[in-house]
Parts: sequence; structure tokens; C-alpha cells
Amino acid sequence: MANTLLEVKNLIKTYDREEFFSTKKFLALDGISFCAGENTSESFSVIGSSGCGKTTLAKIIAGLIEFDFGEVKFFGKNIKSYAPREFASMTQMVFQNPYASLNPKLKIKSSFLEAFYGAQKDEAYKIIEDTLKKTGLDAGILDKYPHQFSGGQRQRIAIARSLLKKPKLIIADEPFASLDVYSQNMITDIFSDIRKNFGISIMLITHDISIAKRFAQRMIVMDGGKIVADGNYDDIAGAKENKYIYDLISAMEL
Amino acid sequence: MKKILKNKAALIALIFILFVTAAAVFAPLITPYDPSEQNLPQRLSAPCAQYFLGTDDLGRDVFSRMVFGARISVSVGVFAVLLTVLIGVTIGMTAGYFGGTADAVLMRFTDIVLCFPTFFLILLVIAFFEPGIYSVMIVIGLTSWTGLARIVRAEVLSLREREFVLASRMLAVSRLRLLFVHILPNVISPIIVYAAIGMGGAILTESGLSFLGLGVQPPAPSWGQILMQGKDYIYSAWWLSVFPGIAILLTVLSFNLTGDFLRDILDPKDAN
Repeated sequence: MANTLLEVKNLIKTYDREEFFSTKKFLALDGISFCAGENTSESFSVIGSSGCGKTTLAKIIAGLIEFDFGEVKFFGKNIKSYAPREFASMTQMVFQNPYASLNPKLKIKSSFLEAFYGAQKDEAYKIIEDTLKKTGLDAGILDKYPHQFSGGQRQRIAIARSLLKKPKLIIADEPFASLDVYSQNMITDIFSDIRKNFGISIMLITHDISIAKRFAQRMIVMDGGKIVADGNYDDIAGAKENKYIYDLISAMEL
Repeated sequence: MKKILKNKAALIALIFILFVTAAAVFAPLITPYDPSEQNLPQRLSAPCAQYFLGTDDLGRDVFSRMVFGARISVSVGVFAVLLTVLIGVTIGMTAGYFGGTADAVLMRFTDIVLCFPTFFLILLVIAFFEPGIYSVMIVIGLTSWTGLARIVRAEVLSLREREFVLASRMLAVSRLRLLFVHILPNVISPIIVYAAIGMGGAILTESGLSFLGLGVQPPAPSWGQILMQGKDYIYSAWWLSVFPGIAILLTVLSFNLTGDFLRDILDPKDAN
């Protein structure tokens, strides 16, 4: 399906867990399948407690780690058959820890210019300026180092970097988790702007169902490496026979 | 800069290192005599106005010999440490970044070198090549990189999973740039600390080897060599052993103190 943004089919991933004298396999993803963005951009969230495999899923879709079995396709094309540069304009990732997201030894400018390796400099600066404007950042940040910024600002810079390649999908792995409430709201606003103004789909990974509910209609709930529910809030609330969903919903209603 | 002024020991150590380095660089300008000029009537003369650190058994000025000895000690230290850093960083980064088989092979090799009795290895290399300043540099470089390789590997192992490295990977940045722009600059502080402490170690090993007659060969003056010549006269001419001994002690101590100080200021946990 060449018009579908993202297709994940029967994804299986195991980790080796070393024990005293043996290596045990630990099943992180146990047959994940879903589609997103048929004929249009689509934002959705993936909800799950820590250790349920949601970050593993994100990193696999981002092409950062290998998987054992299954398929991941962007626009009908397997991620393994994309050239690295081509794949970079397919998807980008925003990470949980803004303090580790930018190389402390590089000016923001140098980090940003990495997106334009081999391209014309003037053109690169034009795109950078444009992106900064749209994310509400000042051009003065380019000559500064990461340590001169707060966590919220760094996350905003990391988001701006993820936009430079004009990707179709941004994977945001708990982008609010280490921020204060003010910065959380700021980042949420930026994400809704990105969706509206850039037409980019966002896959938000979170453990907080109330953030997910505010963020997008569609939610995918994961537990123990499996998808246990997929749909809007009402669909999920209807699946209360699952223990994890029951806990999520009751936590929400408190 | 402020921190070094607060840390008196490190400040003194750093000044002493600069002093020794300056002496090594400007040796011919400082020394009152040629280091191999003999004055036999004045042999084994105690420190006096003419020879203020005394003379040795051939009537050579101990002060001049020590200043020229600093040249040898410092250059052995610098080149041995450069070699150590080159080998240690290359092996550590390759093992840490590529992982898998490369990591297993390189780390087992490191373990083998680590298990080898260093002095035996040194004797082996010197048996094959001629003893002399270059052999000493190479031997020290070839035997002291193992610790650095392990440190660098561990750092690289954690850095390559860091978010900024992953983000650059997502921008399709080349492997070389990842290694040399993103990873290497972030492991530079442990490397500097290791190098500073390694300088002290290298100077000490050079002195030890020269003392045994396996290092720098006479008539070239090195601290270990002057010390060795002095051992025959230790009861009658104490200045022959004591001054080079003090020079070795203070230099090694200074490099170690500087290394400790650098570790303190470069450690990110203490930076804030």
C-alpha cells in the first residue's frame, strides 16, 4: 500500500539477557502489527508502562535497532531498502532526555548543519531560519552551546532539528517526561503547530493516558510487548477486561 | 582557571612541570658546562660555588647533566604517552563502537597484553632492538595503553547509545563524523587525565630502565643513568644519587597531582 505512511507487520524483537552462566532470550516485542496514515497524515500515541516495549518499537521504526522478525514499511517500501539519506527525510526522532539530545561540544549551528551534508550552504541556512521561525526560536541560538539552554529550550531545539529534513513522521519518545509543567505545555503547543502547519504525522510515546487523550484521537495501548487496544478513547475504555487498561482508566478517573 | 588557583598542590605541580619543560627546551642556555665535559682533577667534588650540585666520578657537572637529562626524560615521556594514547584510543574506540567480534578480539588481545609481565616484555623488546632512547619510548608506549583502551571502550560503549549520537545517526551522518565529531570529543577528558598520569609513569619507567643499563646509553645523560652511576659512590658522594632522585620524585609527583587535578575539573559531576 504505497499510500500508507507506516505499516508494521508482526514485529518480533528479542533481547539477550545475560545470566550467570547462560544467555536467556527476553521477548520485548511479541508480534506488533498496525498501520497509520492511510492517504493522509495521522498522529497517534502509543501508551504503555515502562518495560512494555514502546521505546523498542520506536527505535525499530526509526531504524536505530535491528529486529528479529516482521516488517516495517514507509509508503509500502521496507525500511531496510531505503538509502540512509532518503530514510532521514522519512522519519526523525525526538528523545526523552533533552539534556542528552544535543552534543555538548558542538554549537547548535553545527548540529543543525548535519542535516544538510552535501547541500548548498545558503539553501541550508534558509531552511534552518525558516524552521526556527516556525518553532518560535531565535536565530541567535545557532552560535550557542547546548549548556546555555534550559531543558525546555533544548527540547524545542531538538524538535527544530527533527524538522530540518522535512520528515513525514516524527517519533517523539516521552518528550515531556523530564520537563516542568510550563515546558510541557510549550512542547505540546509546538507539536500541535507542527501537525497543523507542516502536515507531519507524530507518533507520541507516553505512559500518561491523559496526555495521550489531549494529544490525538487514536491511541495504541501496549502491554508486555503486545498491542492490547487500538482506537479512540472510548474504544480503549471499553476494553476494561484487560488489567492494564483497567488500571490506566481508573487512574484517569481519580 | 579559578580552580587551579584554589588548588595549591596542583598549582605548584603545574609550575614545576613548566619549569622542567623550560629547562629541557633551553638546556644549552641554562647549563654552565657541557654535560660531557670532564674535569678530572675536580672529580667527585661536593656541591660548591663552581659546581653547585657537585661533579661525578669523571668530573662532569651534575647540574648540567641533570638539565640535559630533563630533555631525555621529558621527550621520552611525551613520545611514550603519545604512542600510548594513539594505540589505546584506536583500540578502545574500535572495540566500543563496532562491538561484536571486533570488540571480543580486541579486548582479548588487550587482556593478553595486560597479563604479560611488563618488565619481561620490555626486556624482550630491548633484546631485539638496541637499548637506547627510541627503544625506551616504543617499549613504554607498547606496554602502557591497555588501561586507556579499556576506559575509552567503556565510554564509547555508553556514548554510542546517547541521544545526540542517535539523533545524528537519524540525520544519516557518516560513521567517521560520528566517531570523530560526536564520540571522540566527549571522551577527551579521561584521555587527558590518563596521559598526565602516564607521563609520570613513563618517566619513572625510563629511569628504572636506565638505572638497569637497559635504557638511555652513556654518555647521554638521563636521570636514571646518573642515579645508576651514583650508586657506587653513595657513601662518599651522596649528591650523585640524591639530586637526580629528587628530580624524578618531584616530576612524577607533579604529573600525578596534575592528573588528579584534571580529573577533578573535567569530571562533569563536579563541573556544576
